[in-house]
Amino acid sequence: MGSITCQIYPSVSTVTYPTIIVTGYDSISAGTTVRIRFANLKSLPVGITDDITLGVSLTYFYYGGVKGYIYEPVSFVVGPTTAAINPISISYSVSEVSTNVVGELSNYTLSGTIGNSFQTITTHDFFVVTFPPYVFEGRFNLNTQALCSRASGNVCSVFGLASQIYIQPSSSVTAAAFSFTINKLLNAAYKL
Amino acid sequence: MVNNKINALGIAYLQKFTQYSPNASAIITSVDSIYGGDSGINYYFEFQLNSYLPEGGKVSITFPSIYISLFTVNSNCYLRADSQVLVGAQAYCSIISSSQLVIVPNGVLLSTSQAYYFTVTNITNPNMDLSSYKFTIQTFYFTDVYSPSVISSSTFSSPILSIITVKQCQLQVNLSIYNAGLPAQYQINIICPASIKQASQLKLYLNWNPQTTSQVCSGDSSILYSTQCNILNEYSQTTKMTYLSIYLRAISAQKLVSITGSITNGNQGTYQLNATINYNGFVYLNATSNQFYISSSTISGNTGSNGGSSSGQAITVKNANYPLNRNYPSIYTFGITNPQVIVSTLQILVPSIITQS
Repeated sequence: MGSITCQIYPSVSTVTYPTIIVTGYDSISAGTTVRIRFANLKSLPVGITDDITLGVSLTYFYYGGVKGYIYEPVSFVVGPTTAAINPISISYSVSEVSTNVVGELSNYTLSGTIGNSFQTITTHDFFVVTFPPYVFEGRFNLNTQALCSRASGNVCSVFGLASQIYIQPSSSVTAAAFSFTINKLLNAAYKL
Repeated sequence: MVNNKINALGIAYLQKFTQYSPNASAIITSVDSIYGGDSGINYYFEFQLNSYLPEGGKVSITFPSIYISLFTVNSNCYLRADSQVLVGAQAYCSIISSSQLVIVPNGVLLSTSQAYYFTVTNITNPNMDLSSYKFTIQTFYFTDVYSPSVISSSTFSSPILSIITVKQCQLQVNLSIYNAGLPAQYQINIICPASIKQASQLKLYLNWNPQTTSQVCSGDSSILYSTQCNILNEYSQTTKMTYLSIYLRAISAQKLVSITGSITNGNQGTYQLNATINYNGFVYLNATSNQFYISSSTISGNTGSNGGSSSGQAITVKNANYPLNRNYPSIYTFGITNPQVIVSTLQILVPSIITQS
């Protein structure tokens, strides 16, 4: 029940791959679907296809210099990416209901309208709220108590280092006007 | 984000933003002296965080600006032994600016509900009512004191000090010679209504700039802390103030303090000298002297190399020595002719090349 730690190891040559090692998770029952999201990884250049390898190994044990895999690495293809699109504009405002003091919890209401060419936001899509840098500095685990009204189970996916919250709507959003709340979000660790 | 692409984008402004909390608290539990102006005083502090402080953060205490720089008075800061045991050996207290100290956990997670204690040494009490001056405690997220990462900030009261008023002493200055520009023995007699602290400095302000002084004063050894007495300058705004500096021993109230020093008289005029007595820069006694008059009738008579004579302004000095042999004991006879003033004191300046036999 601790917090999950992700460590990123950048590539140091053409034959070493950048690696992310995730530790600190609880035991996972067989047959469970596990989703791990990483925020702020850069996407591939346009038109490039590559593959990502994922495996599960014992972190602290080595057998004869060979890392002991529990699950052999498997590859899956990512890309190709397509050209960037020009996002349509969203006009919205945020109302804050709190004393806005370090260490306390704040409630936010985001209301606005998505501009022309509105597309339905399905349950596979996201509202992403990016806060100013350092807002979630520090004790990220305390933000697991945050509640996002749009999401199923009010789950907020808070990415501390990226200062982002991903909200996956529990049902499709078909209207351009929106309003949702983020409640019990821990204020910044110090005065910003 | 629709179909894994950023589909729409907007910016809104947060009306309020995170402010520091008032959670951290501190008090001054005691001070070694409650008298204004006293120096070398220890201040004892207690603080409690009341909210989370990361191991890499720090606690800062800022003194009110009215205090003399902690660097100037050579203050030191340390955690009280029992608090040091609580936080471990690596945590420390350090003075980082003229008015600020920090307590650095240095990798230790401090308790939010535990009171910690520390001591700051060598503080000089301001001699004034401090009720409007506050100390500040702040906690910082980062160790870097200059990054604006305040978690919590609150103020706490300065100690209540007993203000010391400056008392008036009686000062009588007698001169051996009242001629302008001549070196004179100044006898300084001072009686104070309060006792004088050991190693206090007496400053006798001279409103002229004397050219010579023996840099030695004479007086009873129970009075003089040092026979050294220098002519020094200090500046009040841009005004240069020259004074004779004398260090005194502990002297009880109402006791006559008599010191003699050599000072060259100023120009013609009426003089009234001011004196102050301070301990470590804090003035607690002062005095204004009697008036005295310096006359302009300086009579100079220059002698020639061997028995010559020349005229001064008002009188002529004639002298003759016998015998005239080089490096031989000789009798000098001086005579004043045409005195146009009444001579009360005759001072003969003998060139240093002539030595007493």
